[in-house]
Amino acid sequence: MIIQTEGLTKYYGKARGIIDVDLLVMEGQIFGFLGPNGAGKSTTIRTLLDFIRPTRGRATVLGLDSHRDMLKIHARVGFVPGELALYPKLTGEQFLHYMANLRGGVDWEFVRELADRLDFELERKIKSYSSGNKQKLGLIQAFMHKPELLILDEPTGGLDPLVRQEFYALLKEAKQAGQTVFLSSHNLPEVERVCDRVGIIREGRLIAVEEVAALKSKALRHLVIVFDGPAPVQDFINLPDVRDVSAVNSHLRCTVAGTLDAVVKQAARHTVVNMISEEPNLEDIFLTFYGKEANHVS
Amino acid sequence: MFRNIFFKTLRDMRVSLFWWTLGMGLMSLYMMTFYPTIQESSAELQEYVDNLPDSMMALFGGQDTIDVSSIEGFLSMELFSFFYPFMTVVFAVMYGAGFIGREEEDGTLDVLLCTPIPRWRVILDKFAALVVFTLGVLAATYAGLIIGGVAVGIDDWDPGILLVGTLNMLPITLFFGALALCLTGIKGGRGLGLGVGFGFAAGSYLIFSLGELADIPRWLQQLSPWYYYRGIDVLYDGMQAGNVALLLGLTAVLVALGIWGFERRDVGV
Ligand SMILES: Nc1ncnc2c1ncn2[C@@H]1O[C@H](COP(=O)(O)OP(=O)(O)OP(=O)(O)O)[C@@H](O)[C@H]1O
Ligand SMILES: [Mg+2]
Repeated sequence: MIIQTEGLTKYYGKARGIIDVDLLVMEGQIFGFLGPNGAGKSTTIRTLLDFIRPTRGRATVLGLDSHRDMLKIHARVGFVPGELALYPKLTGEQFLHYMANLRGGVDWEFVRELADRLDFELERKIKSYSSGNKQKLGLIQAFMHKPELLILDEPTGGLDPLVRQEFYALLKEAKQAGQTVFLSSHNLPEVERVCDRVGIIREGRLIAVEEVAALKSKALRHLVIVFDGPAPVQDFINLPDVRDVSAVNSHLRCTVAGTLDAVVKQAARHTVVNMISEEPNLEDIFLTFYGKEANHVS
Repeated sequence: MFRNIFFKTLRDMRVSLFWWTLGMGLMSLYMMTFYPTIQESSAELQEYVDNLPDSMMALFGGQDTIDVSSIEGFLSMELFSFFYPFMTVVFAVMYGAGFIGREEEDGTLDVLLCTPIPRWRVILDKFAALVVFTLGVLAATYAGLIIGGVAVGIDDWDPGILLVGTLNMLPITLFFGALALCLTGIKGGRGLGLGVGFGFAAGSYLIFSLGELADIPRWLQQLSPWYYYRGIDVLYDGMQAGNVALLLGLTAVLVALGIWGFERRDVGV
Protein backbone atom coordinates (compact mmCIF):
# COMPACT_ATOMS: atom_id res chain seq x y z
CA MET A 1 0.00 0.00 0.00
CA ILE A 2 1.57 3.27 -1.08
CA ILE A 3 -0.91 5.66 0.45
CA GLN A 4 -3.37 4.79 3.17
CA THR A 5 -5.47 7.20 5.16
CA GLU A 6 -7.87 6.39 7.96
CA GLY A 7 -10.54 8.87 8.92
CA LEU A 8 -8.30 11.68 7.79
CA THR A 9 -9.94 14.93 8.84
CA LYS A 10 -8.74 18.49 8.70
CA TYR A 11 -10.50 21.58 9.92
CA TYR A 12 -8.97 25.01 9.43
CA GLY A 13 -10.27 26.48 12.64
CA LYS A 14 -13.99 26.02 12.09
CA ALA A 15 -13.69 25.82 8.30
CA ARG A 16 -14.04 22.38 6.74
CA GLY A 17 -10.99 21.08 4.93
CA ILE A 18 -11.59 17.33 4.59
CA ILE A 19 -13.74 14.96 6.61
CA ASP A 20 -13.10 11.26 7.28
CA VAL A 21 -11.18 10.53 4.13
CA ASP A 22 -10.28 6.83 3.82
CA LEU A 23 -8.01 6.42 0.88
CA LEU A 24 -6.06 3.47 -0.49
CA VAL A 25 -3.57 3.79 -3.29
CA MET A 26 -1.86 0.66 -4.50
CA GLU A 27 1.69 0.37 -5.74
CA GLY A 28 2.25 1.05 -9.43
CA GLN A 29 -1.11 2.74 -9.94
CA ILE A 30 -1.87 6.07 -11.41
CA PHE A 31 -4.49 7.26 -9.00
CA GLY A 32 -6.63 10.21 -9.99
CA PHE A 33 -7.99 12.43 -7.24
CA LEU A 34 -10.91 14.21 -8.77
CA GLY A 35 -12.96 17.00 -7.31
CA PRO A 36 -14.22 20.51 -7.97
CA ASN A 37 -12.61 23.64 -6.55
CA GLY A 38 -12.51 23.69 -2.79
CA ALA A 39 -13.30 19.98 -2.50
CA GLY A 40 -10.24 19.26 -0.39
CA LYS A 41 -7.70 17.88 -2.85
CA SER A 42 -4.86 20.14 -1.80
CA THR A 43 -5.77 19.73 1.85
CA THR A 44 -5.47 15.96 1.56
CA ILE A 45 -2.17 16.19 -0.29
CA ARG A 46 -0.63 18.71 2.09
CA THR A 47 -1.61 16.46 4.99
CA LEU A 48 0.07 13.47 3.34
CA LEU A 49 3.27 15.52 3.11
CA ASP A 50 2.97 16.73 6.71
CA PHE A 51 2.79 20.40 5.74
CA ILE A 52 -0.41 20.50 7.73
CA ARG A 53 -1.42 18.23 10.59
CA PRO A 54 -4.73 16.39 10.60
CA THR A 55 -7.38 17.31 13.13
CA ARG A 56 -8.25 13.60 13.35
CA GLY A 57 -7.20 10.40 11.68
CA ARG A 58 -3.89 9.31 10.30
CA ALA A 59 -2.07 8.64 7.08
CA THR A 60 0.76 6.41 5.98
CA VAL A 61 2.76 7.02 2.85
CA LEU A 62 5.07 4.30 1.50
CA GLY A 63 4.25 2.42 4.66
CA LEU A 64 5.63 5.23 6.82
CA ASP A 65 3.78 7.45 9.26
CA SER A 66 3.09 10.76 7.55
CA HIS A 67 4.18 12.79 10.55
CA ARG A 68 6.82 10.78 12.34
CA ASP A 69 8.67 9.65 9.23
CA MET A 70 8.07 12.81 7.24
CA LEU A 71 11.67 13.21 6.10
CA LYS A 72 11.98 9.64 4.88
CA ILE A 73 8.78 10.14 2.94
CA HIS A 74 9.96 13.41 1.44
CA ALA A 75 13.15 11.72 0.24
CA ARG A 76 11.12 9.20 -1.74
CA VAL A 77 8.37 11.46 -3.06
CA GLY A 78 8.27 14.00 -5.89
CA PHE A 79 5.76 16.80 -5.43
CA VAL A 80 4.19 19.52 -7.52
CA PRO A 81 2.23 21.91 -5.31
CA GLY A 82 -1.22 23.07 -6.35
CA GLU A 83 -0.18 26.67 -6.12
CA LEU A 84 3.31 26.44 -7.47
CA ALA A 85 5.59 29.24 -6.29
CA LEU A 86 9.28 29.36 -7.22
CA TYR A 87 12.16 31.72 -6.54
CA PRO A 88 11.73 34.45 -9.18
CA LYS A 89 15.34 35.63 -9.13
CA LEU A 90 16.91 32.25 -9.85
CA THR A 91 17.19 30.76 -13.30
CA GLY A 92 15.45 27.47 -13.96
CA GLU A 93 18.79 25.73 -13.88
CA GLN A 94 19.84 27.31 -10.57
CA PHE A 95 16.55 26.35 -9.01
CA LEU A 96 16.92 22.75 -10.12
CA HIS A 97 20.51 22.65 -8.84
CA TYR A 98 19.27 23.90 -5.49
CA MET A 99 16.52 21.28 -5.33
CA ALA A 100 18.91 18.57 -6.52
CA ASN A 101 21.43 19.50 -3.84
CA LEU A 102 18.82 19.49 -1.10
CA ARG A 103 17.67 16.06 -2.25
CA GLY A 104 20.92 14.47 -3.33
CA GLY A 105 21.29 11.68 -5.87
CA VAL A 106 19.94 13.49 -8.91
CA ASP A 107 21.25 12.49 -12.31
CA TRP A 108 21.75 15.73 -14.22
CA GLU A 109 21.57 13.94 -17.56
CA PHE A 110 18.04 12.98 -16.71
CA VAL A 111 17.20 16.58 -15.80
CA ARG A 112 18.39 17.70 -19.24
CA GLU A 113 16.37 14.95 -20.86
CA LEU A 114 13.23 16.03 -19.00
CA ALA A 115 13.83 19.67 -19.97
CA ASP A 116 14.28 18.65 -23.61
CA ARG A 117 11.16 16.58 -23.66
CA LEU A 118 9.06 19.31 -22.11
CA ASP A 119 10.66 21.83 -24.44
CA PHE A 120 11.92 23.88 -21.52
CA GLU A 121 14.76 26.40 -21.58
CA LEU A 122 16.77 26.04 -18.38
CA GLU A 123 18.82 29.22 -18.56
CA ARG A 124 16.22 31.93 -18.12
CA LYS A 125 15.22 33.67 -14.92
CA ILE A 126 12.14 32.19 -13.32
CA LYS A 127 10.32 35.51 -13.23
CA SER A 128 10.57 35.69 -17.03
CA TYR A 129 8.89 32.32 -17.56
CA SER A 130 5.26 32.12 -18.55
CA SER A 131 3.02 30.27 -16.12
CA GLY A 132 3.09 27.17 -18.32
CA ASN A 133 6.87 27.20 -18.29
CA LYS A 134 6.93 27.59 -14.52
CA GLN A 135 4.67 24.57 -14.35
CA LYS A 136 7.17 22.61 -16.45
CA LEU A 137 9.87 23.54 -13.98
CA GLY A 138 7.65 22.25 -11.19
CA LEU A 139 7.27 18.96 -13.07
CA ILE A 140 10.99 18.55 -13.75
CA GLN A 141 11.67 19.21 -10.08
CA ALA A 142 9.21 16.49 -9.11
CA PHE A 143 10.41 13.87 -11.61
CA MET A 144 14.14 14.48 -11.51
CA HIS A 145 15.08 12.15 -8.66
CA LYS A 146 12.91 9.32 -9.99
CA PRO A 147 10.86 9.11 -6.80
CA GLU A 148 8.85 6.03 -5.87
CA LEU A 149 5.77 8.19 -5.51
CA LEU A 150 4.76 11.26 -7.46
CA ILE A 151 2.23 13.51 -5.78
CA LEU A 152 1.00 16.00 -8.34
CA ASP A 153 -1.55 18.62 -7.36
CA GLU A 154 -3.32 19.77 -10.53
CA PRO A 155 -0.09 19.64 -12.53
CA THR A 156 -1.46 20.32 -16.02
CA GLY A 157 -2.93 23.78 -15.47
CA GLY A 158 -1.32 26.18 -17.94
CA LEU A 159 0.30 23.49 -20.06
CA ASP A 160 -0.50 23.62 -23.76
CA PRO A 161 -1.87 20.46 -25.44
CA LEU A 162 1.45 19.33 -26.87
CA VAL A 163 3.25 19.57 -23.56
CA ARG A 164 0.32 17.91 -21.89
CA GLN A 165 0.77 14.92 -24.21
CA GLU A 166 4.43 14.74 -23.28
CA PHE A 167 3.50 14.89 -19.62
CA TYR A 168 1.05 12.02 -20.08
CA ALA A 169 3.85 10.07 -21.75
CA LEU A 170 6.07 10.76 -18.74
CA LEU A 171 3.34 9.46 -16.45
CA LYS A 172 3.06 6.30 -18.50
CA GLU A 173 6.80 5.72 -18.35
CA ALA A 174 6.81 6.37 -14.63
CA LYS A 175 4.18 3.71 -14.25
CA GLN A 176 6.15 1.27 -16.38
CA ALA A 177 9.17 1.95 -14.20
CA GLY A 178 7.11 0.94 -11.18
CA GLN A 179 6.54 4.44 -9.80
CA THR A 180 3.18 5.26 -8.27
CA VAL A 181 1.35 8.46 -9.17
CA PHE A 182 -1.20 10.36 -7.14
CA LEU A 183 -2.65 13.04 -9.38
CA SER A 184 -5.28 15.56 -8.42
CA SER A 185 -7.40 17.16 -11.08
CA HIS A 186 -10.77 18.68 -11.73
CA ASN A 187 -10.64 17.59 -15.32
CA LEU A 188 -12.54 14.34 -15.92
CA PRO A 189 -11.27 13.58 -19.45
CA GLU A 190 -7.72 13.96 -18.23
CA VAL A 191 -8.27 11.59 -15.35
CA GLU A 192 -10.06 9.11 -17.62
CA ARG A 193 -7.21 9.24 -20.00
CA VAL A 194 -4.25 8.68 -17.69
CA CYS A 195 -5.52 7.08 -14.50
CA ASP A 196 -6.20 3.51 -13.43
CA ARG A 197 -8.35 4.35 -10.46
CA VAL A 198 -10.14 7.47 -9.47
CA GLY A 199 -11.19 8.83 -6.10
CA ILE A 200 -13.88 11.46 -6.19
CA ILE A 201 -13.89 14.06 -3.46
CA ARG A 202 -16.60 16.56 -2.91
CA GLU A 203 -17.12 19.05 -0.12
CA GLY A 204 -14.37 17.43 1.88
CA ARG A 205 -15.63 13.87 1.63
CA LEU A 206 -14.41 11.04 -0.52
CA ILE A 207 -17.67 10.01 -2.16
CA ALA A 208 -16.51 7.27 -4.49
CA VAL A 209 -13.49 5.31 -5.60
CA GLU A 210 -13.85 3.68 -8.98
CA GLU A 211 -11.89 1.92 -11.65
CA VAL A 212 -11.63 4.29 -14.58
CA ALA A 213 -13.53 1.83 -16.76
CA ALA A 214 -16.50 2.00 -14.42
CA LEU A 215 -16.38 5.74 -14.36
CA LYS A 216 -16.37 5.88 -18.14
CA SER A 217 -19.50 3.81 -18.31
CA LYS A 218 -21.17 6.37 -16.11
CA ALA A 219 -19.83 9.36 -17.92
CA LEU A 220 -22.33 11.79 -19.33
CA ARG A 221 -21.63 13.33 -22.68
CA HIS A 222 -23.42 16.17 -24.34
CA LEU A 223 -23.68 15.38 -28.02
CA VAL A 224 -24.65 17.54 -30.97
CA ILE A 225 -25.27 15.83 -34.32
CA VAL A 226 -25.77 17.92 -37.45
CA PHE A 227 -27.67 16.20 -40.29
CA ASP A 228 -28.01 17.27 -43.90
CA GLY A 229 -31.77 17.65 -43.40
CA PRO A 230 -34.17 18.06 -40.47
CA ALA A 231 -32.93 16.16 -37.42
CA PRO A 232 -34.67 12.75 -37.05
CA VAL A 233 -35.60 13.29 -33.41
CA GLN A 234 -37.94 10.28 -33.23
CA ASP A 235 -35.11 7.84 -33.97
CA PHE A 236 -33.24 8.92 -30.88
CA ILE A 237 -35.86 9.49 -28.23
CA ASN A 238 -36.21 5.85 -27.33
CA LEU A 239 -32.59 4.81 -27.44
CA PRO A 240 -31.30 3.39 -24.17
CA ASP A 241 -29.08 5.72 -22.09
CA VAL A 242 -30.00 8.70 -24.22
CA ARG A 243 -31.88 11.59 -22.70
CA ASP A 244 -32.69 15.27 -23.09
CA VAL A 245 -33.15 14.88 -26.82
CA SER A 246 -34.05 18.10 -28.59
CA ALA A 247 -33.69 19.46 -32.09
CA VAL A 248 -33.48 22.76 -33.89
CA ASN A 249 -33.60 22.35 -37.68
CA SER A 250 -30.75 20.05 -38.62
CA HIS A 251 -29.12 20.12 -35.15
CA LEU A 252 -29.92 17.33 -32.75
CA ARG A 253 -28.87 17.68 -29.16
CA CYS A 254 -28.84 14.94 -26.54
CA THR A 255 -27.12 13.66 -23.44
CA VAL A 256 -25.64 10.18 -23.46
CA ALA A 257 -24.71 8.11 -20.44
CA GLY A 258 -21.98 5.57 -21.08
CA THR A 259 -20.80 4.74 -24.57
CA LEU A 260 -21.82 6.55 -27.73
CA ASP A 261 -22.19 3.28 -29.63
CA ALA A 262 -25.97 3.14 -29.94
CA VAL A 263 -26.27 6.79 -30.90
CA VAL A 264 -23.56 6.57 -33.53
CA LYS A 265 -25.15 3.52 -35.11
CA GLN A 266 -28.52 5.18 -35.19
CA ALA A 267 -27.07 8.36 -36.65
CA ALA A 268 -25.22 6.41 -39.32
CA ARG A 269 -28.56 5.56 -40.91
CA HIS A 270 -28.78 9.20 -41.97
CA THR A 271 -26.32 11.59 -43.57
CA VAL A 272 -24.25 13.13 -40.79
CA VAL A 273 -22.60 16.48 -41.50
CA ASN A 274 -20.94 16.99 -38.15
CA MET A 275 -20.80 15.49 -34.70
CA ILE A 276 -19.67 17.37 -31.62
CA SER A 277 -19.15 15.66 -28.28
CA GLU A 278 -18.68 18.01 -25.37
CA GLU A 279 -16.45 16.90 -22.57
CA PRO A 280 -18.49 15.63 -19.68
CA ASN A 281 -18.61 17.89 -16.75
CA LEU A 282 -17.84 16.87 -13.26
CA GLU A 283 -20.90 18.41 -11.68
CA ASP A 284 -23.09 16.41 -14.12
CA ILE A 285 -21.55 13.20 -12.93
CA PHE A 286 -22.03 14.13 -9.32
CA LEU A 287 -25.62 15.05 -9.85
CA THR A 288 -26.58 12.12 -12.00
CA PHE A 289 -24.83 9.32 -10.23
CA TYR A 290 -24.27 10.37 -6.70
CA GLY A 291 -27.37 12.47 -6.40
CA LYS A 292 -27.89 15.59 -4.38
CA GLU A 293 -27.31 13.51 -1.29
CA ALA A 294 -23.76 12.89 -2.31
CA ASN A 295 -22.44 15.27 0.26
CA HIS A 296 -24.04 13.27 3.03
CA VAL A 297 -22.56 9.96 1.97
CA SER A 298 -19.32 9.18 3.71
CA MET B 1 26.01 28.78 -3.97
CA PHE B 2 23.12 26.38 -4.20
CA ARG B 3 24.79 23.71 -2.13
CA ASN B 4 22.43 24.16 0.80
CA ILE B 5 19.98 26.58 2.39
CA PHE B 6 22.75 28.48 4.17
CA PHE B 7 24.61 29.39 0.99
CA LYS B 8 21.45 30.01 -0.98
CA THR B 9 20.28 32.42 1.73
CA LEU B 10 23.62 34.23 1.71
CA ARG B 11 23.40 34.48 -2.04
CA ASP B 12 19.94 36.01 -1.76
CA MET B 13 21.47 38.55 0.62
CA ARG B 14 24.40 39.53 -1.51
CA VAL B 15 23.08 42.74 -3.02
CA SER B 16 21.74 43.86 0.32
CA LEU B 17 25.04 42.95 1.97
CA PHE B 18 26.88 45.08 -0.57
CA TRP B 19 24.81 48.15 0.22
CA TRP B 20 24.86 47.65 3.96
CA THR B 21 28.64 47.21 4.08
CA LEU B 22 29.09 50.20 1.78
CA GLY B 23 26.72 52.35 3.83
CA MET B 24 28.07 51.44 7.24
CA GLY B 25 31.67 51.55 6.03
CA LEU B 26 31.27 55.01 4.49
CA MET B 27 29.39 56.27 7.52
CA SER B 28 32.23 55.15 9.79
CA LEU B 29 34.76 56.72 7.49
CA TYR B 30 32.84 59.95 7.44
CA MET B 31 32.48 60.11 11.24
CA MET B 32 36.19 59.51 11.75
CA THR B 33 37.21 62.22 9.33
CA PHE B 34 34.77 64.47 11.12
CA TYR B 35 36.42 63.85 14.48
CA PRO B 36 39.38 66.32 14.28
CA THR B 37 36.94 69.18 13.74
CA ILE B 38 35.06 68.07 16.81
CA GLN B 39 38.24 67.95 18.82
CA GLU B 40 39.18 71.51 17.86
CA SER B 41 35.87 72.91 18.94
CA SER B 42 35.69 70.61 21.91
CA ALA B 43 35.10 73.32 24.46
CA GLU B 44 32.01 74.61 22.71
CA LEU B 45 30.78 71.11 22.05
CA GLN B 46 31.21 70.09 25.66
CA GLU B 47 29.27 73.16 26.65
CA TYR B 48 26.55 72.32 24.17
CA VAL B 49 26.36 68.78 25.41
CA ASP B 50 26.30 69.91 29.04
CA ASN B 51 23.41 72.21 28.25
CA LEU B 52 21.30 69.58 26.55
CA PRO B 53 18.23 68.67 28.56
CA ASP B 54 18.90 65.52 30.54
CA SER B 55 16.13 63.68 28.73
CA MET B 56 17.72 64.38 25.35
CA MET B 57 21.06 63.23 26.63
CA ALA B 58 19.57 60.09 27.99
CA LEU B 59 17.70 59.35 24.81
CA PHE B 60 20.86 59.61 22.77
CA GLY B 61 22.59 57.32 25.19
CA GLY B 62 24.76 60.03 26.62
CA GLN B 63 26.03 60.46 30.11
CA ASP B 64 27.27 63.62 31.81
CA THR B 65 30.55 61.96 32.56
CA ILE B 66 31.41 61.37 28.92
CA ASP B 67 34.17 63.50 27.45
CA VAL B 68 32.97 64.03 23.90
CA SER B 69 36.32 65.41 22.77
CA SER B 70 38.03 62.05 23.27
CA ILE B 71 37.71 59.60 20.43
CA GLU B 72 36.05 57.05 22.71
CA GLY B 73 33.55 59.56 24.01
CA PHE B 74 32.80 60.81 20.52
CA LEU B 75 32.23 57.37 19.01
CA SER B 76 30.30 56.12 22.02
CA MET B 77 27.83 58.95 21.85
CA GLU B 78 27.59 59.36 18.13
CA LEU B 79 27.66 55.78 16.94
CA PHE B 80 27.73 52.96 19.46
CA SER B 81 25.20 54.14 22.01
CA PHE B 82 22.22 53.74 19.73
CA PHE B 83 22.70 54.86 16.12
CA TYR B 84 24.72 51.90 14.89
CA PRO B 85 22.94 49.15 16.81
CA PHE B 86 19.64 50.58 15.61
CA MET B 87 20.85 50.25 12.04
CA THR B 88 21.93 46.65 12.51
CA VAL B 89 18.74 45.80 14.38
CA VAL B 90 16.79 47.06 11.36
CA PHE B 91 18.23 44.47 8.99
CA ALA B 92 18.23 41.78 11.66
CA VAL B 93 14.50 42.16 12.31
CA MET B 94 13.70 42.37 8.61
CA TYR B 95 15.66 39.24 7.83
CA GLY B 96 14.56 37.46 10.98
CA ALA B 97 10.92 37.97 10.07
CA GLY B 98 11.54 37.33 6.38
CA PHE B 99 13.40 34.03 6.50
CA ILE B 100 10.31 31.93 7.08
CA GLY B 101 7.75 34.70 6.67
CA ARG B 102 8.65 35.65 3.12
CA GLU B 103 8.89 32.08 1.85
CA GLU B 104 5.60 31.27 3.49
CA GLU B 105 3.83 34.34 2.08
CA ASP B 106 5.31 33.76 -1.36
CA GLY B 107 4.41 30.07 -1.22
CA THR B 108 7.95 28.85 -1.95
CA LEU B 109 8.02 27.02 1.37
CA ASP B 110 6.15 24.12 -0.29
CA VAL B 111 8.93 23.25 -2.72
CA LEU B 112 11.55 23.84 -0.05
CA LEU B 113 9.90 21.67 2.58
CA CYS B 114 9.01 18.83 0.23
CA THR B 115 12.72 18.00 0.16
CA PRO B 116 14.13 15.75 2.89
CA ILE B 117 15.41 18.79 4.80
CA PRO B 118 14.08 19.04 8.35
CA ARG B 119 12.35 22.24 9.34
CA TRP B 120 14.89 22.92 12.09
CA ARG B 121 17.63 22.86 9.48
CA VAL B 122 15.84 25.54 7.48
CA ILE B 123 15.79 27.82 10.50
CA LEU B 124 19.36 27.14 11.58
CA ASP B 125 20.79 27.60 8.08
CA LYS B 126 18.98 30.87 7.60
CA PHE B 127 19.92 32.16 11.01
CA ALA B 128 23.55 31.22 10.37
CA ALA B 129 23.36 33.32 7.21
CA LEU B 130 22.20 36.27 9.33
CA VAL B 131 25.20 35.80 11.64
CA VAL B 132 27.55 35.94 8.65
CA PHE B 133 25.70 38.93 7.20
CA THR B 134 26.00 40.80 10.51
CA LEU B 135 29.69 39.97 10.82
CA GLY B 136 30.19 41.25 7.27
CA VAL B 137 28.49 44.56 8.06
CA LEU B 138 30.43 44.91 11.31
CA ALA B 139 33.71 44.17 9.55
CA ALA B 140 32.98 46.95 7.04
CA THR B 141 32.01 49.24 9.90
CA TYR B 142 35.28 48.58 11.67
CA ALA B 143 37.27 48.95 8.45
CA GLY B 144 35.64 52.35 7.90
CA LEU B 145 36.63 53.48 11.40
CA ILE B 146 40.22 52.36 11.00
CA ILE B 147 40.72 53.72 7.49
CA GLY B 148 39.13 57.00 8.49
CA GLY B 149 41.25 57.25 11.65
CA VAL B 150 44.46 56.57 9.79
CA ALA B 151 43.52 58.95 7.00
CA VAL B 152 43.08 61.94 9.29
CA GLY B 153 46.04 60.93 11.45
CA ILE B 154 44.35 60.27 14.77
CA ASP B 155 47.04 59.14 17.17
CA ASP B 156 45.56 59.08 20.66
CA TRP B 157 43.41 56.03 20.04
CA ASP B 158 43.30 52.30 20.62
CA PRO B 159 42.11 50.49 17.46
CA GLY B 160 41.66 47.33 19.50
CA ILE B 161 38.96 48.79 21.71
CA LEU B 162 37.10 50.03 18.62
CA LEU B 163 37.00 46.44 17.43
CA VAL B 164 35.55 45.43 20.77
CA GLY B 165 32.97 48.20 20.51
CA THR B 166 32.02 47.11 17.01
CA LEU B 167 31.77 43.43 17.89
CA ASN B 168 29.68 44.31 20.91
CA MET B 169 26.83 45.03 18.50
CA LEU B 170 26.69 41.41 17.41
CA PRO B 171 24.78 39.95 20.40
CA ILE B 172 22.07 42.63 20.49
CA THR B 173 21.64 42.46 16.71
CA LEU B 174 21.27 38.68 16.75
CA PHE B 175 18.93 38.90 19.70
CA PHE B 176 16.40 41.02 17.83
CA GLY B 177 16.85 38.98 14.66
CA ALA B 178 16.14 35.83 16.67
CA LEU B 179 13.09 37.44 18.25
CA ALA B 180 11.55 38.19 14.86
CA LEU B 181 12.51 34.74 13.55
CA CYS B 182 11.04 33.06 16.62
CA LEU B 183 7.68 34.77 16.15
CA THR B 184 7.39 33.83 12.47
CA GLY B 185 8.43 30.32 13.42
CA ILE B 186 5.62 30.06 15.92
CA LYS B 187 2.91 31.97 14.09
CA GLY B 188 3.66 32.44 10.40
CA GLY B 189 3.46 35.62 8.37
CA ARG B 190 5.90 38.49 8.61
CA GLY B 191 3.63 40.99 10.34
CA LEU B 192 4.02 39.74 13.87
CA GLY B 193 7.80 39.38 13.67
CA LEU B 194 8.26 42.82 12.13
CA GLY B 195 5.82 44.54 14.48
CA VAL B 196 6.98 42.99 17.70
CA GLY B 197 10.62 43.04 16.61
CA PHE B 198 10.71 46.76 15.87
CA GLY B 199 8.22 47.65 18.58
CA PHE B 200 10.14 45.85 21.27
CA ALA B 201 13.49 47.19 20.04
CA ALA B 202 12.25 50.78 20.27
CA GLY B 203 10.15 50.37 23.43
CA SER B 204 12.78 48.54 25.38
CA TYR B 205 15.34 51.15 24.33
CA LEU B 206 13.16 53.89 25.78
CA ILE B 207 12.72 52.00 29.02
CA PHE B 208 16.44 51.51 29.31
CA SER B 209 17.64 54.93 28.18
CA LEU B 210 15.12 56.99 30.13
CA GLY B 211 15.21 54.63 33.06
CA GLU B 212 17.13 56.80 35.50
CA LEU B 213 15.33 60.02 34.61
CA ALA B 214 11.83 58.69 34.60
CA ASP B 215 12.28 56.69 37.77
CA ILE B 216 11.64 53.46 35.94
CA PRO B 217 12.36 50.71 38.46
CA ARG B 218 15.62 48.93 37.91
CA TRP B 219 14.04 45.51 37.47
CA LEU B 220 12.06 46.89 34.57
CA GLN B 221 15.17 48.35 33.00
CA GLN B 222 16.78 44.98 33.43
CA LEU B 223 14.08 43.46 31.27
CA SER B 224 15.34 45.59 28.40
CA PRO B 225 17.95 43.88 26.23
CA TRP B 226 19.61 47.28 25.82
CA TYR B 227 20.49 47.17 29.50
CA TYR B 228 22.99 44.45 28.62
CA TYR B 229 24.25 46.09 25.47
CA ARG B 230 26.06 49.02 27.15
CA GLY B 231 27.25 50.70 23.98
CA ILE B 232 28.12 53.84 25.91
CA ASP B 233 30.55 52.09 28.25
CA VAL B 234 32.05 49.49 26.00
CA LEU B 235 34.90 51.65 24.69
CA TYR B 236 35.96 52.24 28.27
CA ASP B 237 35.21 48.99 30.04
CA GLY B 238 35.33 46.48 27.17
CA MET B 239 32.71 43.78 26.69
CA GLN B 240 31.22 42.25 29.82
CA ALA B 241 31.25 38.49 29.46
CA GLY B 242 28.08 38.15 31.52
CA ASN B 243 26.11 40.55 29.32
CA VAL B 244 27.31 38.98 26.12
CA ALA B 245 26.54 35.50 27.40
CA LEU B 246 23.07 36.59 28.49
CA LEU B 247 22.17 38.14 25.12
CA LEU B 248 23.61 35.24 23.13
CA GLY B 249 21.92 32.77 25.48
CA LEU B 250 18.57 34.47 24.97
CA THR B 251 19.23 34.47 21.24
CA ALA B 252 19.76 30.71 21.33
CA VAL B 253 16.59 30.26 23.37
CA LEU B 254 14.57 32.32 20.88
CA VAL B 255 15.92 30.37 17.92
CA ALA B 256 15.10 27.13 19.72
CA LEU B 257 11.60 28.38 20.48
CA GLY B 258 11.17 29.35 16.85
CA ILE B 259 12.20 25.86 15.78
CA TRP B 260 9.86 24.30 18.29
CA GLY B 261 6.95 26.38 16.99
CA PHE B 262 7.80 25.83 13.35
CA GLU B 263 8.12 22.06 13.76
CA ARG B 264 4.69 21.72 15.26
CA ARG B 265 2.55 24.10 13.24
CA ASP B 266 0.79 23.94 9.86
CA VAL B 267 2.69 25.74 7.14
CA GLY B 268 1.22 27.80 4.34
CA VAL B 269 -2.32 28.05 5.76
N1 LIG C 1 -5.77 28.03 4.94
C1 LIG C 1 -7.08 27.78 4.93
N2 LIG C 1 -7.90 28.37 5.83
C2 LIG C 1 -9.21 28.13 5.83
N3 LIG C 1 -9.83 27.31 4.98
C3 LIG C 1 -9.09 26.70 4.05
C4 LIG C 1 -7.68 26.89 3.97
N4 LIG C 1 -7.20 26.16 2.95
C5 LIG C 1 -8.26 25.53 2.42
N5 LIG C 1 -9.40 25.85 3.08
C6 LIG C 1 -10.75 25.34 2.80
O1 LIG C 1 -10.68 23.94 2.72
C7 LIG C 1 -11.46 23.46 1.65
C8 LIG C 1 -10.63 22.58 0.76
O2 LIG C 1 -9.66 23.38 0.11
P1 LIG C 1 -8.57 22.76 -0.85
O3 LIG C 1 -7.60 23.84 -1.15
O4 LIG C 1 -8.07 21.51 -0.26
O5 LIG C 1 -9.43 22.45 -2.15
P2 LIG C 1 -8.98 21.88 -3.56
O6 LIG C 1 -9.76 20.66 -3.80
O7 LIG C 1 -7.52 21.77 -3.61
O8 LIG C 1 -9.49 23.03 -4.53
P3 LIG C 1 -8.85 23.62 -5.86
O9 LIG C 1 -9.31 22.77 -6.99
O10 LIG C 1 -9.44 24.98 -5.94
O11 LIG C 1 -7.37 23.64 -5.69
C9 LIG C 1 -12.03 24.68 0.96
O12 LIG C 1 -13.37 24.83 1.35
C10 LIG C 1 -11.22 25.82 1.45
O13 LIG C 1 -11.99 26.97 1.58
MG1 LIG D 1 -6.00 22.72 -4.72
